[in-house]
Amino acid sequence: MDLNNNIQNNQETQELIDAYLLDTLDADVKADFKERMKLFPDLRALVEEQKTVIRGVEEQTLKNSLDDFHKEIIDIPEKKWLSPGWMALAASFLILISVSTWAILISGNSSQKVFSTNFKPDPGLPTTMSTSLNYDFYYGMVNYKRKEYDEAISRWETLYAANPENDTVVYFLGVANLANGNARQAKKYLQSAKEKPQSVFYEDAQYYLALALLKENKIEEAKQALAQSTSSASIVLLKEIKSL
Amino acid sequence: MQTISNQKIKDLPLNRTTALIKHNDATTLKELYKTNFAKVKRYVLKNNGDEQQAKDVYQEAFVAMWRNIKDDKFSAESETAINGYLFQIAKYKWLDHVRSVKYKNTTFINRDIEYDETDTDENELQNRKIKLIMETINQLGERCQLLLKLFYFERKSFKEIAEIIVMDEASARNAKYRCQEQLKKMTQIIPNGFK
Repeated sequence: MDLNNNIQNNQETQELIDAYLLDTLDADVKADFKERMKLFPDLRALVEEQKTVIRGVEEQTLKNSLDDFHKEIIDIPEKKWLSPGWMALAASFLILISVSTWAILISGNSSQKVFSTNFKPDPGLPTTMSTSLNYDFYYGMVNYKRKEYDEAISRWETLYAANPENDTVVYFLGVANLANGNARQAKKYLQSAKEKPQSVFYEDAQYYLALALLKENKIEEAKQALAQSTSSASIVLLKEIKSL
Repeated sequence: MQTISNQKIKDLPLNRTTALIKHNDATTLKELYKTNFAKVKRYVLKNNGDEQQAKDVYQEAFVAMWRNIKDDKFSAESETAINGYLFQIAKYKWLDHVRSVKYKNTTFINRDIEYDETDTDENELQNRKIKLIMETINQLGERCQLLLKLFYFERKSFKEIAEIIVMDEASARNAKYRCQEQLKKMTQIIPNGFK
């Protein structure tokens, strides 16, 4: 800038203007420059122009930098354990469990259904207490007919202990236990009836044995037990079991 | 990374972050950028936008925020205040976009003026000039762009610039002046302020 009030638009002036705008001037030089700006509109104009240039450069540079900033953003998955992979795994696991449970229940249920529709306790024997020898047996039979299965069973068990070969006692112990919900005990008694095909109770024992096995969802074994039997009830039951 | 020269420290206003933004401190700007994107992205995605749109609106908002701080149109009390301000700008820009799409108007309404005073004719003119400069810079040679960036954005001294572009200081100084003049010539800005 020459002293004849003539502002030269040259490199020196430009650099002074830059220094002013970028605020790198010492305080006294800055004050002096401000004074000149007040005095010289040409200078003011140059300063304004340079402001625009600087702003343009800055803004364009900033814009160009943003994509680089963006590349550095790490996408932190908010809840990692909810990611699709894990969700799929958990879901398939749950499905597996529910299907298996359902399958077990269903098969159990069908056997249970067949059991309940078919199981009717043997009506029992007439309870004429003619001789004292059979007193305990017939007393048990009275309990049995009254559905007092626990009492019937305990009475008959004493008899069974004394005479395990008595097929009548064995048979009714089996049926009573089954009626009482104890399929396991029922099986124990009813299975020994297999040894006596000549007994009047043989067919029925097989029938109830099959039912007991059915209650325990042992379908194949139930089928086998029924294969031995020729009674009409057994044939009907076998048909129903086969459809399971 | 550009650091504030000793000469300027005595002039630092109380709010350090604002000062750093005004000086285009790269670290500050980058951190600000990285920290605030997630919230804007969530907002845009929730409001019928996709990730690319979130990025675009965010970058526009970021530049707007920077401009307003430069022009002292927003004075940040704290970094939290700046974060909030940035989000606000992005949010309104997105809402404007959604509304304009709804009315089948695809022009993107520039809402910068909402956060400034109402635009005067002078400001309009200024903005247009700045835009023109920005467009023209991209047409300059790479070395010119680099020189201008180092000097005006990163505020490096000629000494530092000379080291970076492997020149002596005087040559760097002259080269930068020539680039600047070329830029002005290309935009044909006449000293009295009119295009």
